[in-house]
Amino acid sequence: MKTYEKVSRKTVGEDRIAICPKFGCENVTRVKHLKLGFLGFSKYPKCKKHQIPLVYIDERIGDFVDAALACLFDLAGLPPKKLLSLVNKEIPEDLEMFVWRWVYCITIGRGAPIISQYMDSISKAYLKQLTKKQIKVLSQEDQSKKNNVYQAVRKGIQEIINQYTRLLKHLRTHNEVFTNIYETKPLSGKLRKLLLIWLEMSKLVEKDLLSIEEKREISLSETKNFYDSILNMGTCMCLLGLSPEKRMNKTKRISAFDRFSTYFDFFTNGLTKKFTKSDMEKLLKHDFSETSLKQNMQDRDLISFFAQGRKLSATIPGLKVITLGRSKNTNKRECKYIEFIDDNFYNTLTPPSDPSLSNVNEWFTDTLLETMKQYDFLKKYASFRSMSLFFGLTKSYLYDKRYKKSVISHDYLDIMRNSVVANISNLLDLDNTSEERVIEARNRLVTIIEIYRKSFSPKLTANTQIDNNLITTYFQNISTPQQAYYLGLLFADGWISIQRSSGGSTSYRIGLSLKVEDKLVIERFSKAIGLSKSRVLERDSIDLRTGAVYRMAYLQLGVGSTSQKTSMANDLIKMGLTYQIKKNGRRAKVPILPVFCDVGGHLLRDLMLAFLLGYFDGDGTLKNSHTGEIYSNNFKFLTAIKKVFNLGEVSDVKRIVYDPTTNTHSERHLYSLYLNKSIIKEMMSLDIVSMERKSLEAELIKLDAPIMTKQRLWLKKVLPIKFLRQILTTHSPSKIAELLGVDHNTMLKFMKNVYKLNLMDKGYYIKLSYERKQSSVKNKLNKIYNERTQLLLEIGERNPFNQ
Amino acid sequence: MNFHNETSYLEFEEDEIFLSWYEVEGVRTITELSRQIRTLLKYKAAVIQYRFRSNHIYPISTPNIKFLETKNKFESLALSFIKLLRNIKDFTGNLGGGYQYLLDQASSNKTENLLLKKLEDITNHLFIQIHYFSEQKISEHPYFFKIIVLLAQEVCETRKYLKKQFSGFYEELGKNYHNLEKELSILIPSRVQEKVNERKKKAGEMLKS
Repeated sequence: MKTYEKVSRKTVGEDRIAICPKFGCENVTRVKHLKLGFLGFSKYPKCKKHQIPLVYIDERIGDFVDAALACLFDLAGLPPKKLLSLVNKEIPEDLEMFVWRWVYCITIGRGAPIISQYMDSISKAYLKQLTKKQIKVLSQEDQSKKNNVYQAVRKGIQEIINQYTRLLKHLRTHNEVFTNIYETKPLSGKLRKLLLIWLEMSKLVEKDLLSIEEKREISLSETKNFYDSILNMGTCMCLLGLSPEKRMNKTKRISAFDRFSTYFDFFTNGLTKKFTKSDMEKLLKHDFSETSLKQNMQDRDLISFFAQGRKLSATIPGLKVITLGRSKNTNKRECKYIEFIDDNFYNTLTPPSDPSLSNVNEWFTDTLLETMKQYDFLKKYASFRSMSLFFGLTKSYLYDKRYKKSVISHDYLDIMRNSVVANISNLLDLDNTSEERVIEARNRLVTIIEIYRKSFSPKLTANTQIDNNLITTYFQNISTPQQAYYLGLLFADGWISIQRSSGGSTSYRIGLSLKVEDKLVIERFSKAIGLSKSRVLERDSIDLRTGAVYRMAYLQLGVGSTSQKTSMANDLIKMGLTYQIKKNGRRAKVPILPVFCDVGGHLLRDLMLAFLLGYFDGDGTLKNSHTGEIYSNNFKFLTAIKKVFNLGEVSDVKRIVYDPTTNTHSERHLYSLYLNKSIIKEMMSLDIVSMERKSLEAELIKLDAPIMTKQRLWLKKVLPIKFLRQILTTHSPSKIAELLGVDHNTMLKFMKNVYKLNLMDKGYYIKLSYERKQSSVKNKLNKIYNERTQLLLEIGERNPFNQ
Repeated sequence: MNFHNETSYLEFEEDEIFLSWYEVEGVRTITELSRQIRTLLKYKAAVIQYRFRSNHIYPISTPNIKFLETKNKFESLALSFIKLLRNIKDFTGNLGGGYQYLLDQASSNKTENLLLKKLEDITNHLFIQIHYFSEQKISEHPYFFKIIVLLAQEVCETRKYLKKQFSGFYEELGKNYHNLEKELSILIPSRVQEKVNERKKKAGEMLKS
């Protein structure tokens, strides 16, 4: 380790500047010589804050540059092997170039631009310690007489300059040795994508690392690994054309001071090693097949997961990734119920064996009352009215329930349990209550509630009448295309409403409504979720846009309390059927596209197509051209669909909406997304029972057949292919278009796509035109030309599209 | 000391203490060195950013009036600097010799002394403006970026002669700028070359049609 000259006022001779050796400490002092060699305080100046002897600044600045260089050119700064193996696997031809590009970015990526901040601080602190007299002398360089004064300060300044120059030299050498400016080309799209994925993965690791809050014993080499992984992210950001400083500013996790002071520790402990060209060659010669198969598999899974799932959700706001097939923690509720149970007390309790014969609530309330009376601090609550309030219920609830046969629901039992725990913890603060007694009381009351819950299997909620046949878990895990189809249908024409009971509790209701001609679809849905067809009803509905009245078929069902975490409504919300409260207080549907992925992160296209088909059946139209269009008032949702299925742009159509309640018209945005033939064909190929009105035989959809718009149909009628071929011998396509009053490009596309004609070269028509001009009007060519022109003009006059 | 300071060095000019130090020749220069390093590395970062930018067309951003004003000032200053360099070159036929002649004559000859002072003044201002541009999104102005780096190289060369104490530093800085300039000349083809390429492309298209 480097030894510093001892800072002593006895030996300093002339003024020198010293600094606390702790990086980042602000203690900088001018060390003056002692008068007569003994008069004065602080003979060996120490840092007031850290109580460690100071070191001369000109010696210290060299350390900082050492640390900075160790950080910038450390072997660990070369591309990580894991990333290299990924690149080697995905784009082996790009591997060598990738390594060179990475090394090219190392200095900037690992934080070179922020070195100057620290050096600047030291320099300025140094200069601030100089007296005006010293500076004046220093500025008069040429006055040889005074040149001998303040040699130490002069030497210090020179040392700072030398260190700056040294840094520049190293940066330049690195540039000259490790960079081939002619070969360093921009990244390919594939490599860029791969780096983005690696960066995302590294960010997750970093996040995990930074979330560790408890103290841990971490070795210095382990710390270095953490630092390097974070710094390597900076290099990766550079390669992606991003600023590594930007990220640091954002997180403020590793400042310039942090970075280089820590690297100084690594440097002094011999953990750093400057990389050379041979290190790079070694890296390239590394056998990547050594990487275990398992690791490769993990990498691949991560790549596809990030590429298809996480990445999508990170960049597209209107979707969420639903990973299917992951085991769910169903024990959570049970665990909650076990907490605070007093086992001995539990064994003493004897709830009625047959709840249908005896009044279980009487036993329940009496047991609670008796138990409360045993504790002085609870005696005041031992009446039905007070007890109800103590348990967080309305004041007459328990008294009313006492003589009713209906079992208290899970919802209310949860409220009671939570209130006991909360109220008892407040009692702990009272002076005259023993903690043990209070805890005992809490555990006993909780035990009574839980034994009641266990013995009499209560309903989930008090007010919601959930049909016993309802498959409440139907949307919990979407595993079949049919489930995904119904989910899509609910996204389009379904809803989740909140119903408030007179008692104040709220419960969810879900519904689906379609035109009466599509009633069969709702009936099938009803059957799929375990309900009978008779639940599907009919009613009239007003179209707010036109004011017209339509007959609608609908299904509405209660699915449980809003406080219940495991209801069908909650599953739908988790899938993305979310709502937002608008300014006017109304709830507005804000769908978020669920992107179904398997555990490995692979997109499940069949499920996605089924979902889209469901949405299309609800809020879409099928066109004659075998294409389709879906609509939504949520731009982000359609954009997410567009991205997932790689479709065209989302269009915005403004609509005038009529509100019969206020008799006003207002403008609303309606977005639409065009579904091409291939996506419609894919959707129709799914083995799903869907809406007949919008179904097509997949075989009937011919992908290479031209799209026949109304204008094209008219053109086909007035310009049969034989006739058009004849005309094209004398008239250019642009002339025909002009005479017919059709757009030039429309005509060209019609000829190429519908008739598949090979059009003549422009030169042919120029030549023909020249010939016509050269010959007389009565010439045969001119005669035919004029006749055809007249004919085309007549057709053009009948053009219904020429406004 | 503020180790987390990431603001432009120019802001320190407003600091009273800093200004007083700044006025003193020799002391000002040393503080300037860290600024020089920062400027160089910022430009290097901008080159990397330009090289690996994701989209080859930069979005049209709203014009920064201060940037444009400084750019105009910089251009006129650069012009005066080049004129000055021509005058110096005329002394001996080459720039190195010209600087040496100027330094030798400055103590005795008033005109040369004034010229030397003017040169110092211009280089100072140029460096401050070069630093200002390094803090802007300079990679969005590739042609101007190229000019700055080219000029920075020349200013370093001048400083190498004017500041003997820092000659090693400025020489090294100049070499670093030279490397940057080489990179930029490959990355950003000159406008004339671009026009030639454009014409060739057009001619090719015409021949094909």
